[in-house]
Amino acid sequence: MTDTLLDIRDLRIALPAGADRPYAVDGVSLTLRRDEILCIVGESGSGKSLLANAVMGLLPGAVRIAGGSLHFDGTDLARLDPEAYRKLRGRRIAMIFQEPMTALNPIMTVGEQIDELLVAHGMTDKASRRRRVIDLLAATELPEPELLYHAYPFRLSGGQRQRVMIAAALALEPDILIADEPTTALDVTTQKQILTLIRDLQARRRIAVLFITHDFGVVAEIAHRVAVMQWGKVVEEGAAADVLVRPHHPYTQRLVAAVHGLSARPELAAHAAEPLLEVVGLSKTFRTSQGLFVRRRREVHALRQVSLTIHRGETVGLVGESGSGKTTLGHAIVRLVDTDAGEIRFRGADILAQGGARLRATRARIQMVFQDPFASLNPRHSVGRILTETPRIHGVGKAEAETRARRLLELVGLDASAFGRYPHEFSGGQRQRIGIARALALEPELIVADEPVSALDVSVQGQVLDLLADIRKRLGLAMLFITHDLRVAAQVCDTIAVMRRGELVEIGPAAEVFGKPRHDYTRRLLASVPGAGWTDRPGTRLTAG
Amino acid sequence: MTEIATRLVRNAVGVAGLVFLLLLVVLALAAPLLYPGDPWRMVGSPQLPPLSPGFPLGTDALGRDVAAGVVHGARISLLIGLVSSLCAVVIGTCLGAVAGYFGRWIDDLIMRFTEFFQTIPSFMLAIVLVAIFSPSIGSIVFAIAIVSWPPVARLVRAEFLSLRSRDFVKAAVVGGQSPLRIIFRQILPNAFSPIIVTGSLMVASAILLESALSFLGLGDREFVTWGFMIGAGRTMIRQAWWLSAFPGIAIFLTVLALNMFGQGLNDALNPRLARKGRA
Repeated sequence: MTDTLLDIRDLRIALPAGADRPYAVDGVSLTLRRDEILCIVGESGSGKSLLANAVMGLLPGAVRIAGGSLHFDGTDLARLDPEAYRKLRGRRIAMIFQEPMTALNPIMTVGEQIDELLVAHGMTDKASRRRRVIDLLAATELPEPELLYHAYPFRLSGGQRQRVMIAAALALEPDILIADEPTTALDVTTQKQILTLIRDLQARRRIAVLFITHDFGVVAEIAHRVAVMQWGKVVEEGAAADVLVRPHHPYTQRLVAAVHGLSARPELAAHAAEPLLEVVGLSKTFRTSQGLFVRRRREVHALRQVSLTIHRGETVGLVGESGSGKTTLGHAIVRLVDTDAGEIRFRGADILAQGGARLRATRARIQMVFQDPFASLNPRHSVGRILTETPRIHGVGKAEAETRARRLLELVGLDASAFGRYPHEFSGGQRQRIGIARALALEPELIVADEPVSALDVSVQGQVLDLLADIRKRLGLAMLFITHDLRVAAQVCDTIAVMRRGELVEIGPAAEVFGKPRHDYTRRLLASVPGAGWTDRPGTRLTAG
Repeated sequence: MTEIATRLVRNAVGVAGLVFLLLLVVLALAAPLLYPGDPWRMVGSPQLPPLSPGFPLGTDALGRDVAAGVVHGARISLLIGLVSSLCAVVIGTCLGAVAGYFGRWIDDLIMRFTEFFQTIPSFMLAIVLVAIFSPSIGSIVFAIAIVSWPPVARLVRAEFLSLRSRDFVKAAVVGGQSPLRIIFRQILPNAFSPIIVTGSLMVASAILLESALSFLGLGDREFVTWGFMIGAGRTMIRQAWWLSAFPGIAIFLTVLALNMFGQGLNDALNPRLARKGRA
């Protein structure tokens, strides 16, 4: 038995004509050995997912292998016929995907789906199959595997579904497990559990894991070896401990430097003591609509008695996991959702009671930056129109609005020629700059930023965060910064508010919340941040080259 | 816009439909020049078969020129088809947009209203409406528009439901834009492609509806229409087949061309699909 399971030599994967580059993967050589976790790190478009799909023989139609070789345990994968490949997949090489919500068939029970796999690969005895499925579910630390066998996927949470996917992947005892961003769609505490599970299973079963991720924090948690990919090439490869602490390639250095530690920024400017926005006892319950025949209603308490104050010039970070109500709070402040009880006072006036012209005047003072830079700009409107439309509604003249728009473009670091172009001509980071410019166009005093950088690559994230910090300082803005990413929060926020299931569990200066968290849940969140031990070890912080 | 035009031009089927429709429009516009005077006039001997000298498509029992009828009929068919579809699209878009944007009880109200129209057999309703308002171009257009807007309303509502939750709409709300402005300036332009495609396909069904009404004798007696010609020629189909056949072919080709054009337009407006088609 050789030690090297997967041997990739000078692999090139060609993209169809008209793509932004001829080769998605360009001359990559990698080896994956038994009993190790190899992380492939890269930003979107680096070719890391295509590389994984090539190993699985799952390349999309128009994409093909143009050169090099792919050997698995002595077998040339490029020459394998489809039937032999099918036998290899699942049995020797298994894969788990990013989206656990869609990877399971909703009309089959969890047990049946794994059972099906065993049947397809020739296990005939029903009783032993059942035993095996239950063993697998137990091995992935799922509760009550006997009962779970008969459960349908909709009853499971995202983390549990990912465990089922892992159980299915391990069903045939493969030699290699390929994991393509398996924790990206999960909450940070769940991510921690899944990463621990993968690490434990790998060690116990001595399999090889090819782990694709964009997050260096995750790499620090799990990897033995790291390969960093940029534009289809491996720019750096080595033992995780070396690459993380002493990266050689400038690109790796930049990526590593972009991962911020959890300590709060000391140099943040002191804000005024005058409160700008006060949220008092805000509550909101979502109810599923009552049908004619359905009596039982489902209630979700998105906000329970939430109180929060934002001072002039202060940045408050609102952190929490999905479903904690942080987005609902943001939407309530900009009056996108109506609330059930409580008050929101902006400069002393209750804005929940406002309507018509007074509400419009308030809207100009509180603006919003959205998460998805692709959905937040109207694809049919030019950038100029996007930036001038709202000011003109608020009574700014055409010429004045245009001059202001051009100034804003300059402020957010875009060329003035962007004025006449359309959103699809810009990258994600540039679009987010346009979104920020739009929010600034009305000269607001408060900006609600809902996950403004979570759809962006790490290196772009840094630029956008710098821009936000810069604008804030220059214009004296207050900001409610909603994020699930504690590292990002640590980078920009003066005050941190932690939400959990609609309740504000802890609020305080960033340094205190990160340094001496009072609430149990905050401590758990902090402990779950991937790679926390790595970034916050003294002496390992890097300065960007 | 030019990009869409080039994609449309590359689509052979769509271009064929468009070319036929343009020819038909030219023919309809030139009708008074090609066949001056009233097409109802008796101009030759009765019952001349096709390819008779001077009457390429023959004459009917009263000696009226079938070719003149077909050409003049094109004017009415196209006019009614276009105007009634336009009315139906406007009604359907407005109702669907309001229902989809505001949701809740407004949506319920409008959708029940739409279903009310959808559950009545549309042709029956059209007959009743034309009969009540007495047959004229106006009442026929009205009747066809009234029975054909519900699918448009449903389509536009569905588009609005998905577009309404996009962040750019939220940004417009936060920017203080009025609901009407958001509906017409922000969302509607993004929903145009499916509306245009449905509209172009609806012209075909409107022409068929009008023909069916005329066939039953509910057309406007001031004008020759294809449906009326088929209806009038029906009794003599064994002696003089050309009386029904030529207007029938005209309807068939026009509807086919409209469908081809609609399909081509659909592909051109939906680049992802079009690219798949070419690969």
